[in-house]
Amino acid sequence: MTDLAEQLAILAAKVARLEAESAILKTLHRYGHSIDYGLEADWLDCFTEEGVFDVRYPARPSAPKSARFEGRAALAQFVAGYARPPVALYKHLLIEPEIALAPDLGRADVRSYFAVLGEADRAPCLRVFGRYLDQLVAGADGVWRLSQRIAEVESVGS
Amino acid sequence: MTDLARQVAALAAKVAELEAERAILSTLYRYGHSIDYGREADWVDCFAEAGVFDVRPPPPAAKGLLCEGREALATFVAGHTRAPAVWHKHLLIEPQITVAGDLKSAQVRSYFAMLDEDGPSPSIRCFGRYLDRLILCPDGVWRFLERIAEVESLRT
Repeated sequence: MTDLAEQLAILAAKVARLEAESAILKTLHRYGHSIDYGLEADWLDCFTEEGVFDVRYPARPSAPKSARFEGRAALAQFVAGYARPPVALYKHLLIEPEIALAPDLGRADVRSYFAVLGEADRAPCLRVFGRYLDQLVAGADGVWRLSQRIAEVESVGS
Repeated sequence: MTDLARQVAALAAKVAELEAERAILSTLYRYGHSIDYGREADWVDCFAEAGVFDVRPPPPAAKGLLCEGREALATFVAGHTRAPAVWHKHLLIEPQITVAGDLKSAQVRSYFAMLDEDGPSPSIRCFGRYLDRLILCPDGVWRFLERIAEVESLRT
């Protein structure tokens, strides 16, 4: 391999890594935009066919019960019942994603913060915050999807 | 140098800048995740050996905080609240990264908010702005030379 060809191969590997991180971010951001505006098919497409959404609430009497949804049928049922505009206004914010890519660039673990804004008595409020622990895989179509999302809810309003 | 070699060199420079920005973001995010979950060594490692952490609350609030060097930083973080005893989130938002031409130092201006619980409910404890100076260390990790936390609004 010539020197120039070697440099190009190194560059290609670096660009592939940057592209993977960018594509992962796209999926992470699509999740919030789709659930907040009732784009059900779009939200479902953030998950793999066998994707898992595992919501873990704190062990407090006032907190909702934890729930786990496995596979697209269960996920579809969940999102179909999720409130949306104009009935309810939410913003699922994802912040500070720490992306750990597998060397083959086919899988990734992501740890990030989340907060959900909403309304109470016609005023904006902070409804909940916590941490997402995600596993994603790169699909054959080039789209990264969640094979598992654990939502650790740390604080939730009544 | 051939035309192709020039193109490769230009491309390499662009990729290096993108990589530097990604690496800087890693440090900015590691700061929040480590302090919120009590990973003290990880948090201290976000700073250079002579790193400075300068917290400036809004007047006439309580006095500020100045930590200079890793020993002072370690003392500070050892006394900081953490999960699961206390739930809070240091959020960093909208970082504006300016990397120096030699890709060895950078300035970053970003917003921050800290979420915690006020009684049983999630709440915003404070918000403000971070003014950061970072350097690229010999091990390839970007670290804070200085982080100024300008606290603009604080729940009392």
